[in-house]
Amino acid sequence: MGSPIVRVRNVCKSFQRGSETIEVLDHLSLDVEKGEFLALMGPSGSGKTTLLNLIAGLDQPTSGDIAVGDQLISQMTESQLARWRTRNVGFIFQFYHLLPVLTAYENVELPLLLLPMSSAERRKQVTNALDLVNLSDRMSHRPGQLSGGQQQRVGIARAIVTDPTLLVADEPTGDLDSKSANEILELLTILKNHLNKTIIMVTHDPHAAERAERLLHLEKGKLVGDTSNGQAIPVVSPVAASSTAFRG
Amino acid sequence: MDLLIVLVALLMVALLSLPGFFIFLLIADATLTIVNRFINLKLLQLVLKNLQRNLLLSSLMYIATFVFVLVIVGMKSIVSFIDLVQTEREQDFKAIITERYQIPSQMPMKYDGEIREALMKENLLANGHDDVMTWGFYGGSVDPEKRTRESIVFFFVMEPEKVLAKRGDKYTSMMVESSDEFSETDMKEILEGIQRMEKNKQGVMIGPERLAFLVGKPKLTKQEQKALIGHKFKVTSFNYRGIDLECEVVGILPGGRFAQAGVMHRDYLLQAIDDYQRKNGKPHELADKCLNLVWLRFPDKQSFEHATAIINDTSRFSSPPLKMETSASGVATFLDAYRDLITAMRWVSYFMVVIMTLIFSVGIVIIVNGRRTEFAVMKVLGFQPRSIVLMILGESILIGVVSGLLSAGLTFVLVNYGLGGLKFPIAFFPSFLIPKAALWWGPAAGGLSSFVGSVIPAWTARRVKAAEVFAKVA
Repeated sequence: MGSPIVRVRNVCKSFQRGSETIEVLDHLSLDVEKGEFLALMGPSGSGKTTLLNLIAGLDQPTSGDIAVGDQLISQMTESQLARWRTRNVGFIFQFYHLLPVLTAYENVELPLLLLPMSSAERRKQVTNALDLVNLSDRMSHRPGQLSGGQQQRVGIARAIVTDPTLLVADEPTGDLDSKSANEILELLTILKNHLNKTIIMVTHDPHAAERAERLLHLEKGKLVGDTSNGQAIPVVSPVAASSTAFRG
Repeated sequence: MDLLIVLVALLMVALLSLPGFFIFLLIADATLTIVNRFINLKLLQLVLKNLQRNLLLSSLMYIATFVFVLVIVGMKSIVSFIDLVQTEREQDFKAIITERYQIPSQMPMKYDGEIREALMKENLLANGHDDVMTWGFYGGSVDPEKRTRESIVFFFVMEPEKVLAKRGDKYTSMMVESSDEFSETDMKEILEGIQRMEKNKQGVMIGPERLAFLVGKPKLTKQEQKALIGHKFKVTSFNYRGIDLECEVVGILPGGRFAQAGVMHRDYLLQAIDDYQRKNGKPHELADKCLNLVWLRFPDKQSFEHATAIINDTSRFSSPPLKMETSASGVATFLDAYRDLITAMRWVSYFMVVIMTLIFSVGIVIIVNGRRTEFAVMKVLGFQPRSIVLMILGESILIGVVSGLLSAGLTFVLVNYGLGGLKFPIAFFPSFLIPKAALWWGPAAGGLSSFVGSVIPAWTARRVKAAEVFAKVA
């Protein structure tokens, strides 16, 4: 195994609701290898989405460290995180969240507007991304004119257009029929196999989880199961993790 | 009831202009599509597209701004004109000479020459005779049997070239604060009228509304007005009893505050006064009282003060003694009776800006609340909070500025060219023109209100936490 691209060490995340403190993640540690397709499963409230948000740099842990590549993102400011996300993370949402006023092309182009690129370079990247999700013929359609599956494919094109290190997907098939869901999962597999993308996917769907090569189970904010290609692997212990944390 | 009609009319104008707003958005959007091939203005284009997503909300904000700006422009036009005529200037300011102890002021015509001579001898008038204007007042009725609103005419008896003259490339006028008050077309027509008056002493120039009354019509088109050049009428005078004058329309004054006025050649009245004496064997009772006002223009305060000392010198001007004051001071005294009304109008304008700000605030709060998820998505994609603030401010300011500009522009055109001025009689100002400056007042008022109204909602949007938004969604 090579060096992990995502390293989560001893991470705790709690939320305050009135006077009550809710512990969502409890001293969780995790490594994700480059090019790995990982599925996160667990009951509602187990902390899957929270973990995904932390890895994607949308939130900060209450304690512990998270590193992606050589960047310690748990210590970045909000604006540093925003800049980092543009180049390093592609996010795929359950409900696609495309901007309704923009065409498929413009939605995919949106993250590129934040990068120093010429119009011609942007056009090339967007066209490539839409080709990859097989939507070249729907470039000028607005989200309202596309089916759910097509919208999700636009969402995937938007996520990969900046060629990010990491793709995170929060229930990407949760709003789709089984045919469209299969197409999306097939697409994610292609991205992993052919473009060597690292994919972390939250899902409730066991069929979707089967596509991943590694499956993590969370319960009450703790990692309770880690299987890789059907074989159980030991969960990273917090003590061992902290002693080897970010050594390289 | 009148107020209701005005409100309905304002709403109608706003509604009719609404397609203009959306056409502007579409044209700007299409233009940016082309521009974006060369420069990255995609975020600005996103702002334009966002305004087209909730047509009802955008329309309501546009209409509200349009109506408020329209009212603000109208009020500010009146108030700023009143302020302008009362403002004491340091340079190039006007003064009025009147009879010291009697109202209405009635002075002998010989004073005109004596005043000019006294002031020019001391080099106090920078432009010589161009800086002096005399006024007499001649009023009467075109119907000898009765005086009605329709039959009354009133003339400023003066040297016609004081209305407007061209010296080299420059226009000069003693009648208005600045020749900018006249359009190019107005100036051309006034100068033509003046030329005809110089050739034909019976010739008068008359305002479009008064002319319409004279021919028994409520309103005249520009073509109908021109067709009436050459129209003759006889005036039976009220103040110059026994001196009834035949007049011929040789020019049309612009609308606005001249809409109901008339200008008569001074030489015509003086000739008529002489004729009266020849015919009746005795001078007319007003023969020595036909100079009512003398206007002067001074280059600076020192010249004015020096001139005041000369004019107030009772040994020189004793029968009757004279009083000189700045025109601002004279007008201010006259406007004292209207001070409360003017103050109220000023405050209502400010109040309207506040209401407009609140409307923007509510509109933008609705927009922000409806698009929290979208802002979260943009943050996920890497947009900085400040980009979101700028986007929301951009949407709001665009509505404010475009609506303000269209409102002020339409007000300018409709009031000045359609209605011939804003009818709001205050003192001796029957109506007011919308100044060219209103073309920036509108966008400025709309832009300022929209900016202030959207700052807090935009700030709220920048604080949207993507993780919280998606936790709820999921």
